[in-house]
Amino acid sequence: MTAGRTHWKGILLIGCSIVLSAGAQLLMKAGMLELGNLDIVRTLEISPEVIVRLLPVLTWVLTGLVLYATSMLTWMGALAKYDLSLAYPLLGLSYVLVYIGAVIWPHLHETVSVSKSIGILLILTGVFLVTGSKRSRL
Amino acid sequence: MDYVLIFVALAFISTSQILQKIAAVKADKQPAGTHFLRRLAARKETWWAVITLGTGTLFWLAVLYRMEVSKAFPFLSLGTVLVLLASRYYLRETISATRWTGVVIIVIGIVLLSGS
Repeated sequence: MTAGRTHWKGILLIGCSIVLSAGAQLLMKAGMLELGNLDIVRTLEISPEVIVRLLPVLTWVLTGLVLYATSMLTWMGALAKYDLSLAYPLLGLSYVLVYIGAVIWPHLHETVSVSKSIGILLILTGVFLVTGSKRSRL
Repeated sequence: MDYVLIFVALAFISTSQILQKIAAVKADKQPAGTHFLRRLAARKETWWAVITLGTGTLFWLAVLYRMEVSKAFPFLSLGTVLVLLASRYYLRETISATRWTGVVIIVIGIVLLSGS
């Protein structure tokens, strides 16, 4: 990696990929959760009320897919510059974002646990090691 | 059977990463003039990457359908190991001991974070 503008561009691209893929997963998770709440899958009955409730589900899942596709593009932009063995482990950060998002977003109401918090600390430590080693600075 | 499905899903998803890397590097090396995204779209590796990612995702959905999410998700971290091995032996990247250590710690972190 050369110093200067590309340096920040690369970090920005990886950052965008991580945030976008975490956002995509949260949206799809929320969408699927809402779909589970609807009885349509079991009854296959389509009433106006079901269609109205189906709209937010579709919006979430589709927005999620769009974010996912965009994250693949920024990801490939990053891969043009960085080793795969440097970039790929950093995707672990998206698990951290998904977890934090699922706890904060009331819709998903997930709870905080000790083991998961240790998991976050380990991922952050690992990312520090992967990006900090001499030959592979971001 | 479920574990075979998990491995097939991970193999497809990891292969997609290798293809994305190859496509990105080739598109980046082409003389400028057209936009990077256009050059990406013109490479067949890009589309194979999309196809393998889609196939892997379908296998993964099959896994989620058959297994409890909290039991299945920690296995996703094995994908990181597969991608790293492929980067080392197929793409011939140099991976320092520090980076390997970081990867192992991240994998353990993902297992803890994605478990029940």
